[in-house]
Amino acid sequence: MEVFGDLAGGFATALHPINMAMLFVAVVLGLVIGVLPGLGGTSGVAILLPITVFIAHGSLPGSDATTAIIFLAGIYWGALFGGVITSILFNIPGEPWAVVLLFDGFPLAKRLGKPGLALASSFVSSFLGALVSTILFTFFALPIALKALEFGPAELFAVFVLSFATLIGLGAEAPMKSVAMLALGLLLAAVGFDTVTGEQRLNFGQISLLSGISFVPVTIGLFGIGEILASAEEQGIGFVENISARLGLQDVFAAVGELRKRLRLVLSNAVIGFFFGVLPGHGATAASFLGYGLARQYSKNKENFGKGEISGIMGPQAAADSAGVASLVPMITLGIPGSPTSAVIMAGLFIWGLQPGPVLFIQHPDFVWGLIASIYLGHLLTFILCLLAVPLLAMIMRVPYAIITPFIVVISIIGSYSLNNSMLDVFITVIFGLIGYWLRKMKYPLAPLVVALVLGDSMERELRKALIAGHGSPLYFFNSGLSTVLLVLAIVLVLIPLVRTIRARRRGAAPPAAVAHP
Amino acid sequence: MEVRVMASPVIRTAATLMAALVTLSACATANAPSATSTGSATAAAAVQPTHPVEFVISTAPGGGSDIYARAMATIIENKKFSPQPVTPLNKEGGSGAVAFQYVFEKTGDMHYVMITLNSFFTTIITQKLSFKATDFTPVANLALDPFYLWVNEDSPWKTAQDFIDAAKKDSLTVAGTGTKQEDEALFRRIEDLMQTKPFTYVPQTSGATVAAALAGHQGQVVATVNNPSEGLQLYQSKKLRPLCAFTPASPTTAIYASLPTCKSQGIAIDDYFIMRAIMAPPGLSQAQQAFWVDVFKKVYDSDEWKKFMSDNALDPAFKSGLEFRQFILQYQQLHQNIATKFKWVS
Repeated sequence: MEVFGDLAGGFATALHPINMAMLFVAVVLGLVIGVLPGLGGTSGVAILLPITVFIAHGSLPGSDATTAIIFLAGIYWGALFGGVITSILFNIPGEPWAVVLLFDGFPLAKRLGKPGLALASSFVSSFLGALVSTILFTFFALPIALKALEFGPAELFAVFVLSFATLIGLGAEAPMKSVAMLALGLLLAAVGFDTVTGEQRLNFGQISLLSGISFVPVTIGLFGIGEILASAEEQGIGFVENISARLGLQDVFAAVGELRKRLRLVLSNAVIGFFFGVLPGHGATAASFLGYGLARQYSKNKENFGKGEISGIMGPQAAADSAGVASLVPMITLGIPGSPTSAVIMAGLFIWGLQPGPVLFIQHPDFVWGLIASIYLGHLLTFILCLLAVPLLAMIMRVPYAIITPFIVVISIIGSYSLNNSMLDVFITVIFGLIGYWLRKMKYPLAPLVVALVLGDSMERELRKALIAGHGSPLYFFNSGLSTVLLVLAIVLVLIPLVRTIRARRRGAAPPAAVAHP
Repeated sequence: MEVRVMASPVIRTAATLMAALVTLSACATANAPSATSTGSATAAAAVQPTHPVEFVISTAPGGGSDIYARAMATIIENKKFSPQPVTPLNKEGGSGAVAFQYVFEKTGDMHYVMITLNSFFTTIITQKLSFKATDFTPVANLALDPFYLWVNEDSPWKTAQDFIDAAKKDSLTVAGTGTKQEDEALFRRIEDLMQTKPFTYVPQTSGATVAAALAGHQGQVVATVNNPSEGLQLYQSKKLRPLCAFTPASPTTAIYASLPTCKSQGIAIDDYFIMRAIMAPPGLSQAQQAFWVDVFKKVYDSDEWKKFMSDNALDPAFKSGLEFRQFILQYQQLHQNIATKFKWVS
């Protein structure tokens, strides 16, 4: 097949010493950017964009535009892996797509005392997800990108509704509490600017609130600060002792074993993540939440979710990394970026004097196939680096909580400040720290709040675009087969708890715990 | 210029108020040293930057303005046109309102420049911000990004006239970037001029998603007014095709060379472009303004920028000084008229 020849040529390009050296530098930089909360992959890539001009114009011996894109994309791969580290160890998301790792990653690390296993699980599923995605990229880039164009507002809205429904219908907490948290999240997401009418909304006349309430400072507060307040109350006892004393690569082997038990979940999430990544504008973050919802839906022990369930790490992580890779597909093939980070990489292409699109494959095959080969190599490199670091990272959790607590608070505050260099984000973090503490005490689930805040804007936009296109008729959503199926599925998921209650009542038995939470 | 201490909902800080008052005096005496809300009096009075400069971008990373601004910043950096680094900074939100407010508050400080497009007029008018486009210190316009009328490759319409005929029969669904922004402004002008049925306008998030919506028949979208660079990739993959260009003459770029003007096909609009212009905070001295005009003139004259403009099918159009001021006034009036006519402002 022609593809194999092209790919071999790509590997020859990517394995060129200068390209490998820059790839290595990039993934290390990406890991650091990923670990630092507030400094995200998108801004990291944007900051380093000017340097790539020198690279692309041959300022380094043997470098060209291919080196430049391998470098930029490498930062993204590093950040995709690295973002989860602080989520798991400190309950502070390093990257937007690592927010979902707070739900189960941190509980596994802290409450169950297995930070090494949590990290290794995340890395192996990231790697497998990326691998699946890169293989799909290699063989089906163009046809899939063209198919994704047909995904209109009705279909996208249905996907969002479905991911919300997975969180209500199958939540371990009382469903009404999940609904309340979803509503609060949507309300927060509505703050700022109404993109459809072009008017300011719920910002109380504050220009600084026009860009909306970013979910990163909110989650840093809810999880990072909120958890510290809760732990301080428990005096941080009983967890340092629990941390496993092993400091070897055993965790990695254990994680591989866990992966084998969940192979179907991880592979299917990787494929779904790929398709989600190809859709313009959504990318890894939305895919990670969808992946979490699906992992929970398919799991036999749903009650373990939120308490350190490994599927709750592997599912979203496979989807997120897969979507990250896939977001380059429409960018390269059609000039439509699939995620904010790939939008910045596309800006790089323009600045180096290249035009993305189908012509790129014909005019610059070295560039395209060099990039594709570097995705395989970049992920392999990142994976090895991360696994080697697992024992060291896990050791951090053995530092006494009294020492680590102030450190986490400082990192949280700096992280939210550095997001936009604005004190407003710091206030948001502190306020949501208090809210998070209170919600924890009241046993409200935090996950639906965060999901609604993250996806609320996009969901609202798709809903309203669909309604404009359908001249206001809600029946528009049932014009397409795909959106009909997804919406019906979502409705069924929401009704599950209700049906359960009714059935339990008929039998005269006590309602199940899922509904009758005291 | 007047300082309007208005009953605006915006809670203004004391510092801003002071800065605005100083602007008044600065404008009165042209080169009076002005204190700023951030820098010292000496820094502001200098005729060239004394510390790193923020190049404010009103859109998210990866958007049209962002790409242009980063290309300019890269040229300034590589060619050492500025004694201090010029660092791009995204201040997206509120269709540009966040960036405009941010730069407005830096009154008299030359360490801020901003790339603007037509939202510089539309957003300020429709969101009733507390300042006007003319309050800022104009630096220069570097390029004009033309609009083309696009349809899907499988569309039955071959000419702009076909499109207009269809639009007179039914209300067509069209897409563009943002609400009450340049794309909608152009569609409303067409509607008004050609007496078509009102277009159903679906706002998208970026030029790329507008092109994608048309290519994928998303939500029954049948036409857009994408820029040539935004439609290029999907034109090459034979998913979209342009019907005509809203320009005085046919394009010169090879791939679009045979494209007729819209005017020649009956839609007499040839004066509407997206400006790619640089603005600075209000109240810069003439010398400070001249410094930035000089920097961006050098960018404009560089081979890198010329290649960038031709790659992206931008029309080169350097405007500064009086010519640029007149352009700003003309565009402000044009957008004000549209906003009034289509009741964008209540």
